[in-house]
Amino acid sequence: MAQAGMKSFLFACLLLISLDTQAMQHHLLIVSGIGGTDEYRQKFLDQAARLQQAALDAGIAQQNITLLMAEPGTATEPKADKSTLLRALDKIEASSEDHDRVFMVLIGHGNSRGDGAVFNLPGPDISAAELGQALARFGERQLVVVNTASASGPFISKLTAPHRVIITATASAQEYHAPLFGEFFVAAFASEGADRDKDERISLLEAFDFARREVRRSYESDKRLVIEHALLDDNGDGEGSLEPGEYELDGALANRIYLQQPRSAATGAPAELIAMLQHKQTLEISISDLKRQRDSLDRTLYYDQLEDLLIELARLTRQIKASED
Amino acid sequence: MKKILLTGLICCAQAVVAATDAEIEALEALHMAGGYGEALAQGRAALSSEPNDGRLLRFLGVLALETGDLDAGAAYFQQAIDLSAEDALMARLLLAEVQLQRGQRRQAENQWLEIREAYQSQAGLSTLDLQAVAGATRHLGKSDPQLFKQAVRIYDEVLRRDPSSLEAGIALGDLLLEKYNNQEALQVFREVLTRDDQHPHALLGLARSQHFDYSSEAVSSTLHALSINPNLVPARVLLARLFIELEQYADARHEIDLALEVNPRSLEALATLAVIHHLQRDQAGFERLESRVLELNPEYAELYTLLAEMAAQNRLYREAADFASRAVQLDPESWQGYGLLGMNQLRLGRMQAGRENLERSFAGDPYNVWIKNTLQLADSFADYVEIDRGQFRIVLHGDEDDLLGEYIHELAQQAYRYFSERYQHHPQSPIRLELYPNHADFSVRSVGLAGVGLLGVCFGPVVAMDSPAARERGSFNWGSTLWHELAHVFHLSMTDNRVPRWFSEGLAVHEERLARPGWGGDVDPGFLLAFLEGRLLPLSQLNNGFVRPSYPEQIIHSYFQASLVFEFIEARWGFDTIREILAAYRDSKSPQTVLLDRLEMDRETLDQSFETFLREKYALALQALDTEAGGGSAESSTQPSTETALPDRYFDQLKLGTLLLEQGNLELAEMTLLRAQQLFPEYAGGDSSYWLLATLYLQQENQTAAEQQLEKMIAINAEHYEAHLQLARLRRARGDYAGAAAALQAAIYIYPYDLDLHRDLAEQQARLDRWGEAARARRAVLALDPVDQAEAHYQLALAYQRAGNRSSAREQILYALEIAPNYFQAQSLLLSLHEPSTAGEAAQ
Repeated sequence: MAQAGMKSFLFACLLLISLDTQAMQHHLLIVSGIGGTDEYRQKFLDQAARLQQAALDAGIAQQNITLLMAEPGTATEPKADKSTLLRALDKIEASSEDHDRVFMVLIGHGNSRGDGAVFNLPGPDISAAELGQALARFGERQLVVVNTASASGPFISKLTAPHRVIITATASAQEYHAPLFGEFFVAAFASEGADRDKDERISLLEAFDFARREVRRSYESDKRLVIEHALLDDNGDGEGSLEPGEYELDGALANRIYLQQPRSAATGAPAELIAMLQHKQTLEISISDLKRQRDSLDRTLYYDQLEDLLIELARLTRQIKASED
Repeated sequence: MKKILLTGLICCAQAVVAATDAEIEALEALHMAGGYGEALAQGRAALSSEPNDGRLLRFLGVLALETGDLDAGAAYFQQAIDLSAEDALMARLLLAEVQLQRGQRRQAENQWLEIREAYQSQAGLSTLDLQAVAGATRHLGKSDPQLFKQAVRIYDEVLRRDPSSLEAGIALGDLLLEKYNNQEALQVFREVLTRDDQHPHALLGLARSQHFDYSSEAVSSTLHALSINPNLVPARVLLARLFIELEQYADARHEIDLALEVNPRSLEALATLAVIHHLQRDQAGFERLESRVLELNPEYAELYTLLAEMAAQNRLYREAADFASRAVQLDPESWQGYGLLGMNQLRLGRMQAGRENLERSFAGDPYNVWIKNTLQLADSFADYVEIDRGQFRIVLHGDEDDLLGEYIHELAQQAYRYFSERYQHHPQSPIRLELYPNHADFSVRSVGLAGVGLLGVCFGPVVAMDSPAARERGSFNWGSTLWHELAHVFHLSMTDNRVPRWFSEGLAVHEERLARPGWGGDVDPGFLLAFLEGRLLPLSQLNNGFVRPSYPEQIIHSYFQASLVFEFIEARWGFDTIREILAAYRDSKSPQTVLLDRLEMDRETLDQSFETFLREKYALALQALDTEAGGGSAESSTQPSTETALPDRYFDQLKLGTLLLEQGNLELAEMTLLRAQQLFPEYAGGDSSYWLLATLYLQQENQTAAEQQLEKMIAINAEHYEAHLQLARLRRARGDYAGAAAALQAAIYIYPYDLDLHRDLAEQQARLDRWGEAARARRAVLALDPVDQAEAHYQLALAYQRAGNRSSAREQILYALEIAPNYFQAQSLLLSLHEPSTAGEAAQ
């Protein structure tokens, strides 16, 4: 936990210095897999469409979004298969820069066979190992892979690497019933409730947490045992966490990655505003540092100190808003 | 003390004895038919010519034992042993039985050990010998529970060697039943009865087994056994106990008198008579019987375990614990005594002592599934929190206390204030309220077994009930259940737990109905059809409907019927009379006449008056259903058609209306459903005309009419969750926020786990400037662990701020900003708490 916290702190410092000077581009590949039944086919297409819209709303350029459909809504559209998927990855790799960020979301069914876990596509399925091989060419580029399929847990160990966030809807290949996770994960990007820290952006960690809780609530509401357990791995150790967090083994990186296309630094902003923004970031880091010490501090002292920082932050935010207005 | 089977042990004897098989069979037939006197005379005559006949000696010994002549019995058995007859082991087992009945357990133990010694040292034991070994092993199992398994194996061996041995089968059934394995016991008794369906002991075993399962068939099986052998003392005693359960003490007494005529020193009959005296509050009579039993057998702890058991069945838990305590003083190996002591201590809220005694009981008798279940439940008590507030100790699972604690306390406190004023009584406090999120746990807490269909149970100062999590949404109103159980707390306290069950249940449902519109339910068609078909019990026999229902719905019908009795009494005599009756139950020695005395009516007049009341109250619906009854039940009535006019039959109108609604013929559907409603306005179930008409009016966008239907519906039946939510939506849409809030609050009593419900309620309360109530709804939102924690804390902080609770507002706003430091609205609220001039901004 301490290590994860330190990484977070260093990253925050880097942010302060760089302030989005590099023009990072987001690329998104959505794969809607085989439904098997009309109900699931429609469900997967619907989730894919909603995610595509959320990406557009988040400012990702249209040309950077690729939607592949294994069972498209019309007969004229081509059916995506494994080779289509691999070609799409080649294309994204070729068109993206090293500092760009690539998201890949698999929506569909999966299962486990002798050669490991697979994601179902028309024709040959794609296995976790094959996908891992295909992603190797992205090197150290920041990658996010979300597999919302059943039996998706083993994808983590095959895809894990530093700078990558891997999310699976299930913890193992034995969780083979169609999971609810994907529905809620997609919904998170359109739900105010998922924005836990109220920064008007949904981080991957927030989306994961939203989906995880809603899945649990759904099962409990139906008085059923929870039979799916989503995992998130972002520290490259190949071990997903059931409850990742900003200060946990997994979660620090996912907490800083948003679907939103990062904005370039405002040019020509008044120096006073830039100073205020820098001060704001310093305050945020101080708050984050204090929160890390929460368990070691006297409760009253902790909240008194937190209150002082929060009041300062609130006043500064008010000044920034007034200045922007 | 379980009696080893004494009958039918003669047939297996060897040919070396002189009495012929035909003679023995004739004697045995007399014995089986209860002709004890004649059998004794003929047996003695036979013995005079064959004084060394082992079979005859044992036969006469058994007869002496069954008629209470222990000296003669012991002499016959001893003589058989001294003769070293081949079946002397059985005679030794029977001699031990005599010693046990005299309270000479140590001597009896020596006999059992000798039998075991013979088993271990001798080869080629006969099946009769093995039965004796099994019986001895079973007795010794009291100190070594593993021996019970061995006893079962030996009986199995006997039955393998001699499948026709009815006696071994019955003894095995008794043993299995004693060790709570009723499923197998029942099977064994039934197998024996396939060989001889007139065997009185097998029928008695079957009756005991059925009684174990709370089956009403126990009575007919007992009567069947007695029809074959009217002098079968254990059957008379069982019948007496069945009467006691119905609080029919005169009938019970009659059975005991008959039993004692056969065997004046029957310990089980005398102990049962002591129970009757105790329950009828005849202290002198009770003490006389107690002395008599202990004089006959100073070690007879079963007297007190029986008293404890029957006291608990009659809700006298304190007395039950006292009796159980005396049982374990008398016999430190009375595992049943420790079990009863522990169970009743738990019922009285003495949790630690109760648990310790259950552990003692279970160590000595690890087969007792009630104790095992209850101990497992007790292990989970660590997951519960106890909240002491006002007159209550509320015990909730740790996952539920934040959400439910406040609501439960508020309602419980309301009930306490209301009941203490109405009944002019203050029960002992704290009253312990336990809510179980798992129905199986509640069930174990109630009766020791999972699967009981109750919602709540009141032990006096302790109430246990399902929490709303334990039931499907819409099938349970926890608010009305809590109200009901708290009514019992008052009834039991006022009467020292001596109120009859039907009375307390009926009065509690009546109280539910007075507490909130729609609580306690209203009449359903099944009840009125049962009335028309004469299946409802007369008022004077209503207790039977609770204790031993004769058809599946009878218990539900009895609850409803009993509640109407109090509507009838309160309307005609006033509530003071009800209070007086409760006081009379506390003091009276003849509870059967209390009601009649106070109402100054004889039984027939009361039954008739109540029936008239029912007929008048439901005249319209009865008329609509009476036609129905003539034409068959709801299911079998004529298939309605949209093209034919229908007579005024409720079900047909309802079915046709439903059909028309489904077909989209709203105009005709409305007409038909309104007619159904006119015919039976009291019925407001989920399939009633109210809900269908509300649906219809919503389709027609006639919100006013829909709202009226929903209002009428929940005024009768407050358990329809969706009806409350729909009503809240309609009221809110026309700006009736108070009405909307009221509907949402009512919905919480059905299903409190809906986040949106509490959010909605908080918003309505905020609109009404009721910030205290808004804060409570916001606390409920937080307790439900919403994904958006920051927002939930912020909204709670806002409600606190508006309610003038600055310190709580500060606390909550810091929690919100701790999660989301850049949450702008929360920042504004924080600043407003520090800079009052910005308070207006925070509200935006």
